[in-house]
Amino acid sequence: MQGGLKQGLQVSRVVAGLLLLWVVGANIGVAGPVTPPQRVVVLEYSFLDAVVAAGVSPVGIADDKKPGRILPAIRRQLGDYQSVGLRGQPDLETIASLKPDLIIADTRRHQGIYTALQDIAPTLLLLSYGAEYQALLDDARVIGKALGRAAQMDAQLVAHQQRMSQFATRLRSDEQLLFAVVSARGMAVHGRPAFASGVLHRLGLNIALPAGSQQPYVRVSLEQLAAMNPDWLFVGDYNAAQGGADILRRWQQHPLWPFLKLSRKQQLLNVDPNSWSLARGIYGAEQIAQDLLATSLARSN
Amino acid sequence: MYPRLTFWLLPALLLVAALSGLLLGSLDWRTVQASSADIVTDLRLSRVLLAILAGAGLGLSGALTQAVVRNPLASPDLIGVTAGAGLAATTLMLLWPDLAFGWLIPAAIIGALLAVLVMLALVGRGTLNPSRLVLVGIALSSWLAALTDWLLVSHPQKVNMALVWLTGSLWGRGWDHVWILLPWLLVLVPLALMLSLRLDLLALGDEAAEGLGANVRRSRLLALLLAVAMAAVSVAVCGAISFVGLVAPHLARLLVGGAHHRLLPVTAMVGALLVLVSDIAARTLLAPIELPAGVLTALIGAPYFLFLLTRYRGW
Amino acid sequence: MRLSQPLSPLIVTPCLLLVLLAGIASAAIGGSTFALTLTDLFNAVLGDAQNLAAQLVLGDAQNLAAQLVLTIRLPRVLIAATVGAALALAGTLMQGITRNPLASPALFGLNAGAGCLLVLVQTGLLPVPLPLMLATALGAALAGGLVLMLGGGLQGRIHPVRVVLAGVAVTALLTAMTRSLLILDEQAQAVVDWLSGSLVDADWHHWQQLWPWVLPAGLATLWLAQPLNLLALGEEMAAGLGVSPRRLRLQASLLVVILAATSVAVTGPIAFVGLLVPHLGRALVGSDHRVLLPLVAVLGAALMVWADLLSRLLVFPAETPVGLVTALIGAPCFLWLAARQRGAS
Repeated sequence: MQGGLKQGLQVSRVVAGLLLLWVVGANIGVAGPVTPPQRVVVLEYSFLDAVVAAGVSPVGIADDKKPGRILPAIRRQLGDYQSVGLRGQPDLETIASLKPDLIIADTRRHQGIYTALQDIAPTLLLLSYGAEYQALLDDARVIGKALGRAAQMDAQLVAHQQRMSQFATRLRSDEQLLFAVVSARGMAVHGRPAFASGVLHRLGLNIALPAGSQQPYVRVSLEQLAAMNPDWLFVGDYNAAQGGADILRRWQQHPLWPFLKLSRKQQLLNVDPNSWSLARGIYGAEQIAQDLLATSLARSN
Repeated sequence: MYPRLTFWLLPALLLVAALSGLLLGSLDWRTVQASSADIVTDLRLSRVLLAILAGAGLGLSGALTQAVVRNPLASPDLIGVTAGAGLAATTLMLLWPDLAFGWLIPAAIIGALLAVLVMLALVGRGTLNPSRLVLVGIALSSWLAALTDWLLVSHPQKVNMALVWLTGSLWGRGWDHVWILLPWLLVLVPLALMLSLRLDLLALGDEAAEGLGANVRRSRLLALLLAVAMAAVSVAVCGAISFVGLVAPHLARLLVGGAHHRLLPVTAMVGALLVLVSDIAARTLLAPIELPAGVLTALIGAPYFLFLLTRYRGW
Repeated sequence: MRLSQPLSPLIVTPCLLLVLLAGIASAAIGGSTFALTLTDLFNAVLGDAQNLAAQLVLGDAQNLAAQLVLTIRLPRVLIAATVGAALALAGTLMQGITRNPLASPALFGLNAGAGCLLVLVQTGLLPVPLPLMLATALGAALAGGLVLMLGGGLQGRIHPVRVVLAGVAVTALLTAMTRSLLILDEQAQAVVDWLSGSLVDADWHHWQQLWPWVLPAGLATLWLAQPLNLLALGEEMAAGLGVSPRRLRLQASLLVVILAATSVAVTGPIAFVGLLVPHLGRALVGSDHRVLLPLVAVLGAALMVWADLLSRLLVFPAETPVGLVTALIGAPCFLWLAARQRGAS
């Protein structure tokens, strides 16, 4: 599993590099001014984040037909776009009809339709699902180059790093944090490679991690939560609007719950899983930092 | 039974369905015409052809299975073929995602063949007792399905792709896949049609068939092999589209009766029609979100199967 | 399908009970992220209540262990054992009434029904909010009832092959719908784990919903033991001896639905226990249901308890769904049994 992930990452890097060469190289090959892509279709939220950061509004987004999942900060900068359906199964007809000149797709999800996408427009394959924070920033740079806006992107990334450093100085770092997503039947803790953990690490915070686990998402029981015993638990629930999962409510009534540090310190917080897990990009990372600053983790001075 | 009418009407219906498959899609016709992209020839035509090919393959496979098992309720889904192909393909997709798509077909065929071999070994060589075949097949299928589930759960990051495939969908399939599927079926379908006369002899019963000079065991094994291969190649390209192999031969039998030289071509057309219509509905109902075609065939096929079950008197 | 000489139940039962007890003890303290010891178990179970209450207030590490055993481990082990016993009993009944050695409760479509309703709840598509347990139990019971009806239950003539085929069709339909829902709502895919059977969040609360159904139904199966023995002699023979095969099949099917539906509502579908354990039981003590039924209950309980322990140790500290462990144990056993059976037939 671990080796496969590493290998996948490497392969995706190589593919991305080659594609970039192809995209950029083709543009260089044409005599005259280089025309950067104008009509971009993105098939993951993290690519949307990067493309918007580079100052481009995509014409097509695979938004699962749930526009509410796009972060407000990103939505504000979006022009009119068309939904191309599910991230897992984007609609090729709609993509083709948008006449894009660049498609950004996920290495894992969209490998099966890579040739079909390539027939429509030059396609960039990058890793989004399960990708680490640092890798996502590197990929944002790749996207910036592909868009012909390397300078803007670099400036954005530098500004992002500055903001993150600033956030880091304003946050206490003596306690252990944990982010988890709950569903009707259980809790999945986000492990070291997960996006949110990378962001927390960047902010200089400690993460209470499942011992010895290198997987991005780890399913745990109350017992294992007790073993990790974090000071803070941030919980995302995608179904919060429909009443949410009752697993936390049940756990809170459990005799073991009072033993947990987070319960004694009353440091259990509901956060928006869209920014903590789904957005996976610059805006998502900064939203996480903002959420943290709103808690008592913020230094009082 | 209206053989003559059927042979006129079915191709016409198929043509109409194919044309509407070209006209209908997630985008309406005006938008398609307005955009310069070749949506009709690049995307829709290939899918229509694939649906026809896969549907014909699944239907024929079902008819052959029923002829071998001599039980009208048998189908490739029930004797472990689909589950075997499914397990092999899921393994390939999850463990070696970088392999080219072309490998999926041989893998699915090997998986299906292995499943059938295990099943035959369990049933006992020599006798192909129909009801025992079905019962062992079901048990084997459920075991293979459990293993497939295990693969899915242990690779949560690729669940989506495998789920799409396991339900059966033509999403993202194009000309590449047509060229992969076509040669296989070009070989297998004529073979199946050639076998139809021998199958008619088999339908008379083992002893009568022997008396008429047919090598019962060999014909049956050949038919089973063809059924497995056709189901496996179709499943490999379009995923586990369920109930087509079961329902198509039944409808065909209603239309033209049980003689295989008529039954097989009609089954192929009915199967093609079923998958084609399901795929068109899958593309258009919730556009741009796409439903898996397999759920639509199940929604049509399962109630029909249950209806047959309540009607069947041969217990 | 038995050893050359069935072992005496007098020898087998104590051995099995020992295996079960050892399993309960090791599952109660093993495979934990906390280092638990046997003393913790004794403290938790035998320690006096007053002492415990004092410990609860103080809450130091030692008492956390006791708390852990008492509130997480014990209910989990008990639920595992009960579900194992219920599934084994249901499987034995299924094989008895269908006289088909490959029958199992899963063939009634119960698992698919429970899964489908669970996903409906998780995706928020169900118009009425239902508690999860109720929804899954309802889904299982509805699917089971449908299969029984289509299998001939309405006319009171449940035909073995017919009921199995009805189960297959209903399962295929429900599975296709479940999968489509999961494809359309990716965030709901978290329940895929539960769809292969898991004891992760088993607690006393679940136990209280489980035993009032399983215990009476389990005892009721014993009452069917002798009629099942007669049915094994053939339908005419049974009818001649005063057992109505129709009524027996209906009663047994109802018990199967109760036993398996409550189990699946608590733990999700657990593979192969219902199929495998009856075979093992028959290989050990022969096919007299009066001995076989209590024995498979113990055997099923022991198997589940050990499988649960294994499921926690497999990818420690992450939880592996216990249904996968039983599937991985069950598959080779099943093939072996099927091959033996072929030799016998």
